[in-house]
Amino acid sequence: MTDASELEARQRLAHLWVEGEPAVRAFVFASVSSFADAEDVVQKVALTVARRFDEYDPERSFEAWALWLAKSRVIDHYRVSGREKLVFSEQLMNQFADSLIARHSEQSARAVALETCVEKLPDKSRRLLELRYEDGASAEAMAETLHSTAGSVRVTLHRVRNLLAECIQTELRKEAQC
Amino acid sequence: MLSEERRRELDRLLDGDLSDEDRVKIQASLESDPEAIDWLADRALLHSNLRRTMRRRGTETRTQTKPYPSPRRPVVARSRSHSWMAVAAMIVVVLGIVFLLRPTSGQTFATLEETRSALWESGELSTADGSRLGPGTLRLVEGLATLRFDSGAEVILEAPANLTLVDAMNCELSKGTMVSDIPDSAHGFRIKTPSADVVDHGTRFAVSVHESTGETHTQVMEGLVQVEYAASEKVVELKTGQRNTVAGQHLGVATEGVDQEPRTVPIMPLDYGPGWILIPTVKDAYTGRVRSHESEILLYLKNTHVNENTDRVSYLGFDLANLGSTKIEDAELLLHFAPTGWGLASHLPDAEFSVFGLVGNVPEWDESILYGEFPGKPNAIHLGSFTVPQGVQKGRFQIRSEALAQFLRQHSGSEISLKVVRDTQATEGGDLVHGFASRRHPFLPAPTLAIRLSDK
Repeated sequence: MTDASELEARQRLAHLWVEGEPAVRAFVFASVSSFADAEDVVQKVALTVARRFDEYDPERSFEAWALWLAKSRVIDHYRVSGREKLVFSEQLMNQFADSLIARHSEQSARAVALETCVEKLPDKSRRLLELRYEDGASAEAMAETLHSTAGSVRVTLHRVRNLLAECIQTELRKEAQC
Repeated sequence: MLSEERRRELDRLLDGDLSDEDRVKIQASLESDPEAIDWLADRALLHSNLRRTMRRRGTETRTQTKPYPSPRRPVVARSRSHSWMAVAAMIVVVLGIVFLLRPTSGQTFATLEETRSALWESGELSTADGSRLGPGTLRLVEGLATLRFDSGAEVILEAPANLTLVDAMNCELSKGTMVSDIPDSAHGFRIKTPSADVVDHGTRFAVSVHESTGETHTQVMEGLVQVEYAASEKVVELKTGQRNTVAGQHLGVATEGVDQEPRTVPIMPLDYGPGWILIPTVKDAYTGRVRSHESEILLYLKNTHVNENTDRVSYLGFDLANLGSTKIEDAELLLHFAPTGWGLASHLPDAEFSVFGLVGNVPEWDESILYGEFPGKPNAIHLGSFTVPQGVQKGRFQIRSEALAQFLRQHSGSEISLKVVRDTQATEGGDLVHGFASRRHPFLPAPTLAIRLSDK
């Protein structure tokens, strides 16, 4: 690679990464449950993608390639504790990646819609999301803070997510009608 | 339609709320359930977006009640009054990258990737290759060290240098030179020096600090950098190819000329004893070019396996007219290397260079061949080679050989032409461009022949 084309490559990478990162993040978050660990892994994927960018074949999907690199980083993460079996199988990985890639065009609209939808939630539901997503609390820890039971917290959290998913769909439809 | 139970199970998978055994079982069951995979993909996107949204909201809430610890870097702290609907989704994503690239766990935020010929003064940080580094000071006495911050910023420290690490986006350089390569993830990377703050808004730049005066020299190879004068609010923006010096009470202006690297250590004058004569080049130039990477004062050397047009080969002309038929006993060719600021040292192993004497039908050439091509392909005799260790970019290198002395004897009384090439090819693209001082260099000696004449 010449020095001049290096800058070009870097700009291309920045652009592709912005497009492909949500899928990588979703994959890693589905595979690594602690938020802090998942964020560390995403960061490592970003560095690997940057370092190995000259191997990327522009004919192919960038997301597919980035997800393939992400899988190795997820395996590394589990290897430390000897739990590689928890990584998605090759087949599941491919199916999951296809499914994420199919959602690609909607992704940025979903992220924007989520902002609106979180705002619409009752305070109590938002508090639950804060505990789970801002503090990374487990169901047990949330139950303790909210003087509830882990089972009840799980159900509520599941419902809040359902509400958000519905709200996002509504917002996307509104967007489509505009 | 997925059952409610199946959906709850998948939510628990995302929450890490399952035993390893259950997790493996559910993952296996997914393979034959495309509907569940689609649902999980939706949910995983929601899950990861929620993490980002809730953390950002948390940061905002905190900003409203107390000042953010680093108000000069308001990357994440956005006021809620900004309508997020209006903000392009891409910005959401980019902010997210910046956010998540900040250290989230542990005390360390950088890695000492590699050192070359490094000698360290004792300090509080580990200096073994691969060490993880947290806050503290590195004191590099000799050699080169490459550090990678978790923000993605990569810096090469050139001895003698003292660098204090603050966090993944901030460091303090109190002396020495630092060449930085900053990807988008580390946009806003800040280097504090005694006289200025250098803030990166682009990609590659070098900063040198003179210990005795605290002077700060900044030069930008690519991109945009801000130099903030420590003593006031003044700021100078430097674009590709510009440089700036902050000294004492003076915040300098941006000037063109990235290739004139700042003097970081004093250069010893050439000193050969009696009996030796020194002959500098009467003409010198290099061929090959990458646009906007040229130098007027350094002669570049590069050997890529990718693209021949970007190879750089240097030619030196010496006038031996005054030597007459004097007997040449010994001869040496001296070249003073200096950093070119182009390419990565890590992509190139120890590099071997060869010097050839042009013989036979040597065409007339002058310095107009600079950046172009050498006219013709005359025969060349190998006169000697030398090796520049990986990571070393400055210092005096020479060949001293009987072949050189023999060549000079044969051509004494006339003009001679030498060719310098790098034999070693890069292991990877974007590797280091070597350079040594031409006769136009403001303070380094020109390529010089040192010749010892017989006293008989």
